[in-house]
Amino acid sequence: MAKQYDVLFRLLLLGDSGVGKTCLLCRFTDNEFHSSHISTIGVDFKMKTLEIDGIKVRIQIWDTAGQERYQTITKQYYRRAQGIFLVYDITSERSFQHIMKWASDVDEYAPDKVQKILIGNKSDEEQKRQVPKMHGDKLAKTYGMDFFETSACTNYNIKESFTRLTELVLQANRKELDGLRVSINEDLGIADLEDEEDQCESAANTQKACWC
Amino acid sequence: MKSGRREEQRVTEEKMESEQSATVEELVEACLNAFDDEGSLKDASLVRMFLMMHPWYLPSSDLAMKLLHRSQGDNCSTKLRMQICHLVKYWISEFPAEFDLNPDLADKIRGLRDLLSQGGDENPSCLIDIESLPSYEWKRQVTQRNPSVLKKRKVSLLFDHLDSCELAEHLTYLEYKSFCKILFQDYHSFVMHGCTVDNPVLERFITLFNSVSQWIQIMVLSKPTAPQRAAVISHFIRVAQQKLLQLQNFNTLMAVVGGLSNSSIARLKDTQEHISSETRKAFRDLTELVTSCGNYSKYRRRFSESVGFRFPILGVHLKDLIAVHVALPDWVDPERTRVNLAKTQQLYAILQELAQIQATPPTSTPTQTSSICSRFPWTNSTQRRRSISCPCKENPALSSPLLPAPPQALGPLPR
Repeated sequence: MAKQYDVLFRLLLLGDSGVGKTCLLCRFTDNEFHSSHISTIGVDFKMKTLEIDGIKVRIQIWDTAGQERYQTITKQYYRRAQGIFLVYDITSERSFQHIMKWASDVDEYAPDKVQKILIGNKSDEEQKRQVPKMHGDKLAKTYGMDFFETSACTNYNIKESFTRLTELVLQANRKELDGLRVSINEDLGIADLEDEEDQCESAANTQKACWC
Repeated sequence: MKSGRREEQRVTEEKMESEQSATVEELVEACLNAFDDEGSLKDASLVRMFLMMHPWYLPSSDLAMKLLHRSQGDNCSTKLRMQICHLVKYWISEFPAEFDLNPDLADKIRGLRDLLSQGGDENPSCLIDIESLPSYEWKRQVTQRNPSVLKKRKVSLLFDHLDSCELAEHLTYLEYKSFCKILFQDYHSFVMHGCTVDNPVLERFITLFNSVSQWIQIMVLSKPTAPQRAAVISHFIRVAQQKLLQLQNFNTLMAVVGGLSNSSIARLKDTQEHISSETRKAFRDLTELVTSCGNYSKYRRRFSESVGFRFPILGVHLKDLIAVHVALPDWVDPERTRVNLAKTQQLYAILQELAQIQATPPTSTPTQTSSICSRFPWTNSTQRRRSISCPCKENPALSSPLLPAPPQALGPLPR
């Protein structure tokens, strides 16, 4: 079977509860949502393929919504992430202040090479804004991150921010990718992905849930 | 007239099936028609689902009002009145907590009962009894102990006297007890807010989970030498592997594995060398079982295959609830008249499973429970108050009094 992508990357959405992480994800994946998956493998196993510099990049995005308060659970996700979105809500100063805490967790638990970008979500709710855009810019600069204000509601900057983080991860993994160009067979991370997909499929088969 | 209603119902049911949507009125009608003259239920699935899930679409007291209006309508037959009584009776018997915790709903139902008894019917209203409900308010109270008593008492947190089986049973008892207090209302509020807001019961449960993880880390890190730390780690791996897994307590299993794989412990290279390869292998297998890979597919499979008492990793299921709620709209039309049944079913499947688990307690409970459980550090009232009133609930580091000191504060680092 021909591979439909050259490389796989894992991205993670982090931030306080209620900042709209799941909405961002749903928006980006065009609400591509398989309801049959819910009771078998859960809902959030989101994949999308982007083409960057002629390379087909499959990205797998994890969402931690609902688990923010479980420290030991969320930490599991960090270790395998190659790119991280730090998300706050522009209508919540508190969610912005907590970015520092999330960023320090990333420093502690994520791989050194991990790429981060800062996202200020809900930019459509201008009248409720508590965090000026300037503050987001400034924080991003301090951490050396790119910064986007987004709106899952109006689809503003969604594709741009996901594409940007993917580009950054791609650049950070240049060395391996150059190798990849030489020998297309040694795909980066693909074995892992196939494992996971196998697991999901068999899980789906063993537990065909029917509500009725 | 009668056959007209039946025909209408058939059409509605077909439509519900094919379009996966229905108006609230259609759903109420379908629930009423599920009861026959004797009040027995042919198929409880739709009725249970609607009665559990309706707060997603309308307040319970509004549903009670709808039933009241139906019963007072001109064309309300004796049969329909009986069906209303049977539905309300079933509602109270299946979801008693709602009536106890929602005085407005209880009032409306009393009003309905009184109206029905005035109707001079053969008193179907006697079916409706909300006066003998147990008190949930009391059961759900977040208990507090007198801090002055606690201060005087010296307690050991080492639990060296407990073997791994006993410790596992105690932890299971504590966490399951806390889990059983969580009701539909708490999950509903959690999903609506996207986090815990005025939700002390769920808050407490999550705090307990985090505290178990942190306590384990402290127990390990409090030992001064590598072989001692290794012994504590091995002990907890045994607790997890030999007992928690056997008890099918995946929640505490996750707390233990999470605590032991924290970087504060995972980085102790010398300590790791004192752990037997067999034990290390056991730990790898456990980590593999609860890994987030494939969205917890290994855990999900294992959990779905388990029978009898089983205790889910609630964090995983909370995440599913949020994901379903965010991904699917409540209504299928912009006018918000038709309930999205596909969503209702998905949420119901998760919540119903959790409710069933609460109804299936573990077969063995630890002896001497009260004296030992009260010694666990996270059951003291100071911490409880702190964790509940913490202004920074989102920030785990600020709300966790048991967090080990940062490495630099410990002086020379253990290895």
